[in-house]
Amino acid sequence: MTMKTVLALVAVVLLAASQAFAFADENDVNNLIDSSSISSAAKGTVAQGFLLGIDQGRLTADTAFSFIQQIENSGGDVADRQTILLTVAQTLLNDTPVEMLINKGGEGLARGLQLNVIATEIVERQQTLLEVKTMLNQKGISIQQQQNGPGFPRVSVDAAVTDIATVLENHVRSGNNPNDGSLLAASLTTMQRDGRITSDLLQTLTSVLTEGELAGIANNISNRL
Amino acid sequence: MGESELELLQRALNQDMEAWAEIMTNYKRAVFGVSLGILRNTADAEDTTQEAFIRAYEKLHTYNMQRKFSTWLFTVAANLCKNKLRRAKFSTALKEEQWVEGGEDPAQIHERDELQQKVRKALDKLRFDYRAPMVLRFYADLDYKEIADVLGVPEGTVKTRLHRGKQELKKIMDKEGGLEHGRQTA
Amino acid sequence: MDDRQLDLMLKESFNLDVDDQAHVLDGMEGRVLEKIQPQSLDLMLKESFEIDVQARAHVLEGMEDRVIEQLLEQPAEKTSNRWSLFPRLPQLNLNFAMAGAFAIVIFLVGNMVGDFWGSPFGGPDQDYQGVTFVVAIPEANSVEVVGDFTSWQPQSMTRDDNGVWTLAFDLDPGRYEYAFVIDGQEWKPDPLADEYVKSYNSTNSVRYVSSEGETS
Repeated sequence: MTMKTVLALVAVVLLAASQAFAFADENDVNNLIDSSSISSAAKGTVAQGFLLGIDQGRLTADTAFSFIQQIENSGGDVADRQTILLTVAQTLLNDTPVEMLINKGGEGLARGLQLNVIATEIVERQQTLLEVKTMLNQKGISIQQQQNGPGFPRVSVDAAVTDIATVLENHVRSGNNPNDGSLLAASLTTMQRDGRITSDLLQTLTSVLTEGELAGIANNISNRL
Repeated sequence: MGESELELLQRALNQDMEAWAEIMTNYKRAVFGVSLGILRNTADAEDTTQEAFIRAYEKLHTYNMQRKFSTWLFTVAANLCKNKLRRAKFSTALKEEQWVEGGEDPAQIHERDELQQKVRKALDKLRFDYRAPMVLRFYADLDYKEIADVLGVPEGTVKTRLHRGKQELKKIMDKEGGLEHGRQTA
Repeated sequence: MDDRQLDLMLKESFNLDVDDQAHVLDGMEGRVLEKIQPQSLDLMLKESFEIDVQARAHVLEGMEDRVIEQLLEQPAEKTSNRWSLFPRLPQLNLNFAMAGAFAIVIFLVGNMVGDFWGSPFGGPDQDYQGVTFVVAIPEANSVEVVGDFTSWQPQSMTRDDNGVWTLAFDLDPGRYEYAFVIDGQEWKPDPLADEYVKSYNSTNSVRYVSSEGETS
């Protein structure tokens, strides 16, 4: 390789890198929410929720920024935009993961769907996430609030909530019977395969989760759809 | 029986090739059988078996000693098979092989063997995702949970695929006609 | 009606009853066989696999030596997961200058490493590129992958001479939902997916990536 080729490659790499690393920070997120079209009352909650989520490492500032920007630029009704952003923010304020909501939002936009369809989907899925989170809390599975304190790492608990909610949502939305007895096994398999869940959390989940309670949440999903 | 499997694995982890050779001797037939069952081609199954042992040795540090070693090894092999099929599916098809007839003396084929041949011919035509759980179940004697682990799909899916696979197999056999088609008379 | 008459009548009516309902017997042979067959089919399958292996077991002779030879040819400290050298870029919180420098280092090291080690298992193998998506759509002008691992942003696949489109991603173990977008318009599931789920009244493909580094 001649020096010239190396320099040319460096230039190309730098250019590519500048694209890949165009990161937004919390200020950008805050400013974007401020300048958005939603009501001022909603802005407060949305900013609070997203910034808390970023602080807690639930989503990066970059993800938050591009999500809010995509919703803002989607061309749907202000009411729907507000519903989506508020739903995600409130989920974060409820100490619950939003990975699934952001994902489904992104997918809906990529599919070119009406914003009200996406809003309905996100509101429904938020319920599921909250129900799963509550169920785990009731079983004594909670997020560690400080290092070496009681509970499990946030990343692990979040992954478990997301995985279980995903299994239940997919099960019901794919037209399966919520009471067919397959939810516990499917949830455990999915979680076993998720590298984010620590082995002691997995062990705890294996012993406390019950088919009946999962079916209960699945039935709630079924009733909402 | 010589050393325990765990001891052999520990030694292999410390780059003791003799220990790894012994592991290979113990498992090569099983890994080959699984690969052959999935790929239905001798040369590809041979390549895959060899590759699986190289791969497994290099990743041995990721193997969880509490898990059944054979299941882990099958996972490595099944992944290689799947990748091979994924690539082969559209570009160059797996090397053609007149293979059902191979390895047997035609004069010795009895009626039961004819049915046997029909099963094996039908297996060739079966979809990969049906064939893979079948070979793990019936050749490698794994249970549903272990098959689910190897293939990375939920246990329920394994059961469904085994069931549907068998239905499909019967359908293919029916389509191929009765026993008289089981053997080509020269 | 005397007894004999009654007997005849009874006989006749039983026969008539059976005739009436005889249709339920249609194809019963098949149904019975189906009930009997599962066990024997299981056994047959077991034998089939064993016969096939038995007939070809000779290829396994000396395999131990061949494997060890190959293993010894490679540097002992070789990282087994070469692609794990390439972290998932969007998760890195680096500033631009650092990112640029980092990218150059990665690029150059990647180049050298590639030249030095070659393809780990012979041939232009894609194994260490992570997870490959493949689909044959010769008639398409463009095919893209969209999925939760791309934040649902389309990523262009590359077409080969046969109209087969491929694209590899570096994915952590987990469960991924995705679809193919044909000519920027139509969303299609992957015929080779591990699973399918309904999403927004359409179908998403699911791919599982196991901790062994590849899709299972």
